[in-house]
Amino acid sequence: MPDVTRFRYRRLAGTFLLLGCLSLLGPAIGLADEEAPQIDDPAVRVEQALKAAETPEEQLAVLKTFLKDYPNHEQMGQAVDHAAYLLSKKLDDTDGAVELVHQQLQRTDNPELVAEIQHVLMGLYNRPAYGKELEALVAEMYTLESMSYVDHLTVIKTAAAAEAWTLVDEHCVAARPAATVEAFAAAYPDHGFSEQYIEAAGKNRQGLLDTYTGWSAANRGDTKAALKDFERAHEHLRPSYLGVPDNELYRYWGETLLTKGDVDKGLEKLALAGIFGGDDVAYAKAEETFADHPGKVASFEDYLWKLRTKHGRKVEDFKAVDYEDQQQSFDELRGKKATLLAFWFPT
Amino acid sequence: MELPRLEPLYQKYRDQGFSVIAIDGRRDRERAVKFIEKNQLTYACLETGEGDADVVAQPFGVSGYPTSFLIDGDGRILYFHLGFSEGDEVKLEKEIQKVLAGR
Repeated sequence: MPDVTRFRYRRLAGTFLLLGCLSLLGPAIGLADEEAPQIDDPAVRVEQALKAAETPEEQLAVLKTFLKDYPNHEQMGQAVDHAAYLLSKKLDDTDGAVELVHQQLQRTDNPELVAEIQHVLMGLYNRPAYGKELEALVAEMYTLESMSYVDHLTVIKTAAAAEAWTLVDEHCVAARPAATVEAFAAAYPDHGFSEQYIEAAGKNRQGLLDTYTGWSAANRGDTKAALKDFERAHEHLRPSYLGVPDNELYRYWGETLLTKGDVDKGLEKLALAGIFGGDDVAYAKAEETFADHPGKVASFEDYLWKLRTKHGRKVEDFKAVDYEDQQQSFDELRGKKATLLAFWFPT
Repeated sequence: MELPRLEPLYQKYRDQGFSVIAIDGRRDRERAVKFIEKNQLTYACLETGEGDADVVAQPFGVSGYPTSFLIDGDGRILYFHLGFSEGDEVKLEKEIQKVLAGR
């Protein structure tokens, strides 16, 4: 598990919340009082017990016991989410995870818990084998009229991963009215965002829809329409610091260009997504493409080096304080030949 | 990249024109200083600001920690890395060597 402290691993955060809340779980997982006589808070005992579970199998057993003994508990959704995560990611058993989530859905009629568990199920359906199930689930969860832009986007991303193109198209169309600068401003009336921010965010919504509309078109064989959508997406997406959009656009664009036979441009998009967008799938595809089409450059490494020096963003001088409140400037601290700028988060 | 793993790289390559600048996105000075002292970090360690005063992390589009940028002598970002997994420092060292060699 990579050590990313924020944002990325929602489930870790969920886990801590879960650990803090399962105060009923102490007796159920067999942590005898005499093992920790000084601790009265059952939630703390649970936390210790789950930490003490050495394998994902043991953690799963803990969660299953909880789900069995305390149906409709307010932490049920999180427990299901955690169990599904262990099964699908740690134990490589997505079918088992789907089965567990289905069983739990049968065990509650609390609408909030049902909604939470349905979301877990949707997350598991993000692969081609589950395209049909995803369509049925979305129909059960939503009516088109009741959906927000964010709901649509969640469905669209999951449907794209599940290769459920009809579903992608349907929700891209339905989300269009919410993907304008005006609609974004109306959705957040009291947030005090600057006009500039609202303009960028509204356009970014359009860019995201263009990305998925294009990828759907490409997968249905309409390369021409797809490339037009990608061009438009590129215009609309909020530019990221390193110049590569913060979504799958460059990967989709690159793959579509390859399909069209435009190897040079396709390879460049994929490689840029890999080196400046952190897209490992695109990187692997670029490497494979390079191997299949050896060009003027001796090696893939050399190819990437050229691309980096050509597209690498220039860092402007900036100032920040050290721990003695002294202003320091980047230009004074940086190395003659190389500098590593490392953003960290003390824990 | 985890800061303590950068220290040996800094020691190994500093004489060849390599430097490390760590920027703390949390602004928890006490915690940061304790960590830096405990791990005996000798390279530059700075603080970013918060919100409008954030002169560093926000302009760099940092969306998660740790995030690292490797910059060449001309100030161009040639390598970017989010997170930390086993073996990343080997990859990073290769990248540093490339940038130092200018290829």
